[in-house]
Amino acid sequence: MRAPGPGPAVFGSLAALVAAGPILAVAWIALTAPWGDYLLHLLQTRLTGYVLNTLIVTSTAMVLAGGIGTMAGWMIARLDFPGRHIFAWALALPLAVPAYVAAYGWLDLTQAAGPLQTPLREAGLTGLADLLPVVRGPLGAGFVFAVTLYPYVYLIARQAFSELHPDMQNAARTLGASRWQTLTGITLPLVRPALAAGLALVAMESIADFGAVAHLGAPTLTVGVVRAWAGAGSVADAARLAVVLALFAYLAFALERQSRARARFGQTSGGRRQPRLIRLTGAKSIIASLACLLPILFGLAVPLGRLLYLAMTEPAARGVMDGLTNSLALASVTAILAALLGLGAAYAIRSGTAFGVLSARLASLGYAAPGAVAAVGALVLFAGLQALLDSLWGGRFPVLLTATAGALVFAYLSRFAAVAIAPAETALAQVTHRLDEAAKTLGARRRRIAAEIHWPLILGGVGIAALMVFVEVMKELPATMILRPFNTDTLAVIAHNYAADERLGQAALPSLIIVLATIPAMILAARSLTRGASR
Amino acid sequence: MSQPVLSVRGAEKSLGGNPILKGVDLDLYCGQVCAVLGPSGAGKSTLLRSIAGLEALEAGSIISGGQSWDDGKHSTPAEQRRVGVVFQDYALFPHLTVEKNIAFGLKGSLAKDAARERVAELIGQAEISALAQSYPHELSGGEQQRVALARALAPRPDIILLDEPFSSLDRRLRADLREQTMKVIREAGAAALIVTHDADEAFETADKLLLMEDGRIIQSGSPADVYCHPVSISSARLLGDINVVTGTVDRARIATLFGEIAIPDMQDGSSVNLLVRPEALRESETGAEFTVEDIRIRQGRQRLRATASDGGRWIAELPLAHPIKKGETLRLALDETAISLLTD
Repeated sequence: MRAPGPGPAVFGSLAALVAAGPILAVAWIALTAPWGDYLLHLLQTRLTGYVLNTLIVTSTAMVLAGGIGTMAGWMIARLDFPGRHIFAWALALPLAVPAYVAAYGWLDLTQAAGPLQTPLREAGLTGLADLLPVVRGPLGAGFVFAVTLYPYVYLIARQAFSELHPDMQNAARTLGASRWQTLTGITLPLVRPALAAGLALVAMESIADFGAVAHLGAPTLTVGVVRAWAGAGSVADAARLAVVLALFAYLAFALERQSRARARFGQTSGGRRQPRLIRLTGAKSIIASLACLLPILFGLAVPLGRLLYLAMTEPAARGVMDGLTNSLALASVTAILAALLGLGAAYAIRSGTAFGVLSARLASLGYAAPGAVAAVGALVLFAGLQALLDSLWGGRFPVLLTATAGALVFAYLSRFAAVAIAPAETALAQVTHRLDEAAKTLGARRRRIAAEIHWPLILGGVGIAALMVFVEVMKELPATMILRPFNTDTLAVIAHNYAADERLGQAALPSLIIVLATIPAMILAARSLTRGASR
Repeated sequence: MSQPVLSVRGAEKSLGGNPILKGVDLDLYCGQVCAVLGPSGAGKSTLLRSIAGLEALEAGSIISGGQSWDDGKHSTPAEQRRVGVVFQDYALFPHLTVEKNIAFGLKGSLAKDAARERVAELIGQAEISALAQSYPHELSGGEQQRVALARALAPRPDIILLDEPFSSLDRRLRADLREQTMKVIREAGAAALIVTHDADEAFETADKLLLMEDGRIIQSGSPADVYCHPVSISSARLLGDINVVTGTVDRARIATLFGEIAIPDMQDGSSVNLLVRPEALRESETGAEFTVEDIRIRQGRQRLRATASDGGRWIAELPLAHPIKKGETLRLALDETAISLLTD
C-alpha cells in the first residue's frame, strides 16, 4: 500500500485534540491551581454525599436497566408475539427522553401533592397515600435512569442474542439441559460481555447527568461540578471535582472497552442463520406484549403524558421559541461538525498508521468525560487561549472567547466526537481496501473512488452519526449550563430553570419540544440499526 | 514466439522489512495462460499486485507494450495500467448491481450504448443474465466469481490477473467453473496470469507453469516438462508427493532397493537423487517388499504409505482394481522411464 496522504492523520489528530484537550486541561488545572477554601469546605461537608449519591444512583440504574434491557432484548430476539415488529424499535424510543424530562414527569406524578396521592388523601386514606412510592432521592433517580437508559442494554442485548448460533443452544438441549438451564448456563454467559458493555453505557450516562439528579434531590458529583462553577465561580474547584467525576466515568468506560474486547471471543463464527423464533400464543403472548409495553410506558408515555397534561393546563413559558431556535442551531452546527470530525477520524483509523489510529482512539475517550468535565475543560482551554491572545495583542483581545457559542460547540464536540466516530467507523469498515484496489485496476482515480465507492457506502453511517449527535446536543444540559453565552438559553436550560423553581407547568412545554425534536431522529437511527441487525 | 505483452525483470519488493520478492523474472504472452504455483508466503500475491500496480517495486522493472510500468523508482498507478484483476475475495462493490459492477470499468472509455452492449455481452457469456439486477450479497460464491471475472474482462484488458480465483469455492463447483473461466479467458485472447497454491488447478489451467518459492521463480516451463523434469526436490514437491532415493554412482549404476539402476554419463562417486513419483510404482511379483501403513482412496486410485524393508517410507499410487488392506505386505517395482534424476 502506498503511504496515505496527510488528510486522515490531520483529521485524526484534530479529533483527538478536540476530544482530549478539555480533559487534559481539567487535569492540569486541578493539579496546578491553588487550593481554595470552597473545596476544603466541600471535602468536610458535601463530597461524601456526592460520592455516595453517585454510587447509589448508578448501581440502582444499572441493576434495573440491566434487567429490563436483557429481558426485552431476549424477547425480541427469540420470541414471536403480537406487536413484536413495532416493539423491536419502539423499545429504543425512551432514549429520546432526557432523564431530567422523565424526572419532572415522574416526581410531579408521584409527589404528595400529585394526582396519584391527592385523591387518596382527600378520601381520608392518608396511610395508603403514604405507602405509595415517590420517585425522589437516589433510588428515584436510579429508577428514572433505568427507564430512560435501558435501551442501551436492550439494543446491545438483542443483537447479542440474535447473533448467537442457534445450534449452540440446540447442542445444550440435546445434551439434556432444560430450557432454563440452557438460558442460565449457556445463553446468558455468552452474551454477558455484550450486556456489560450496555450497562457501562448506562453507568456513564447516569454519572454524567445533571438535570435529573438535581431535580430529584440526589446531587451527584456532576451536580457538585456545576455548583462549584455556577455557584462558587471557581474553575479550579470545579476542575478538582471534575477529576473525581472523570475517574468514576473512566471506570465505567474501561468496563465497556474490556467487555467489548471480550465480546469478540464470545461471538460465534460460521453460519449466521437466524434462529427460529419461538411463537407464543394465548395468555403467554399477551404477557409478552405487556412486558414489552411496560418499559415504553414507564420511560416514555407516563412522564410525557403527565408533562403534556401540565403543558395544556398551565400557562406557557416565555422564551420557548428563542430556546428552540438556539437548541436547533447549536445541535445542527455541532452535528455537522461532529459528523465531519467522525468521518475524518474513521479515515484515520482506516489508514492504519499508528498515529492515525492512536489519535482517533484518543478522540473516543472524550465520550467518557461527563459534559460538566468537558465544559470545565473547555473553559480552562479558552481562558488560556484568551490570556495568550491578550498578551500577544498587548491588551484586551477583541474576541471574548469564553462564554461564546464557540466554546460551547467545542465542549459538545469533545463530548460527542465518539458518538460520531463509531457509526462512521462501522460504515467505513465495509469499504475494504480491496474495493479501492478493484476500482483502481478498473481505471478509477481517487476522486471517482471517493464519489462512487466510498460515499454511497458511508453516507448512511455518516447520516446516523450526525443524527445521534444532534439528539445528544438537543438533550444536553450540564455543559450548556456552564458554558452557555449570556442570554442564550437552550430548551434544556429553560426547562431546567423552570423545574428548579418548581414551575413544572412552564418546564413541560420546552421538555416536550426536546423530545418531539429528537424522536424522529431516534426512530430513523433505531430503524436503521434494526435493519442492519436483521440483514 | 512474438514479443511478450509483459516483462518482469529482477523484481524486488519487501513488506514490513521482510523481503518478499527476491528478483523475479517473468514474461507473459498474448493468448497464453500462465500459472504461478507456490506455497503460501512464497510471494505470489505480491508479484500479482506489483504487476497490477497495487505495489511499487523496490528494484527491477516491469515493462508492458514498450512502456515502463515500474523501474524500481517510478511506478505507473494501477488506474493507468488497465490490467484486469480477479481478486481472491472478488471485491465486488456491495452497493452496485451485477450490471453496474461489470460496467464500472467502462465509464469514460466507451459511449453509453456501447458500454451497455458490452455489459450485456459479458453477462450472456458468463451465463448470469437472470442476475443482472441482483446485488453481490444475493449471489452464491460461484456467481460472484463469474461477476468478478466479467468485470475484470469488461474493458478488454491485454493482461488479466487472477489471485487464487477458485479457492473459496467447493470442489465440484471449482472444476466446472475453472473450465468455464478458462474458456472465457481464452476467447478474450488476453495474457492471463493465475496465482494458486493448488497444483491440480495449475495443471488444469496453464499453458506455462512457474514454480515460486521464497520470493523466487525456481522453475518454469510447460506443465508436463516441469512435472517430469523438476530441477530440484523442492520444485518437485510443489507439484505433488515424491519419493527421494539418494545414492552414489558406481560404475554408471546406482543401487536401490529395486535393484541396480543404470545412470549413464555420470562420474563414479558422484552423489545423485532419484525422484520417484508415487504413480511410477506398480505391483510386481519381482518387486521389493513393502508393508502398507495407511491407505487413502483418491479420485478412483489408492494412495499408500508404505515402509520398505530398509525402513524407508514410501508413497505409492496404484489402481483401485485390487484393494489393499492396511498391514498387508506387497511387492512394488519401479517404472524406470518415469523417474527423474537430480545431481547435487
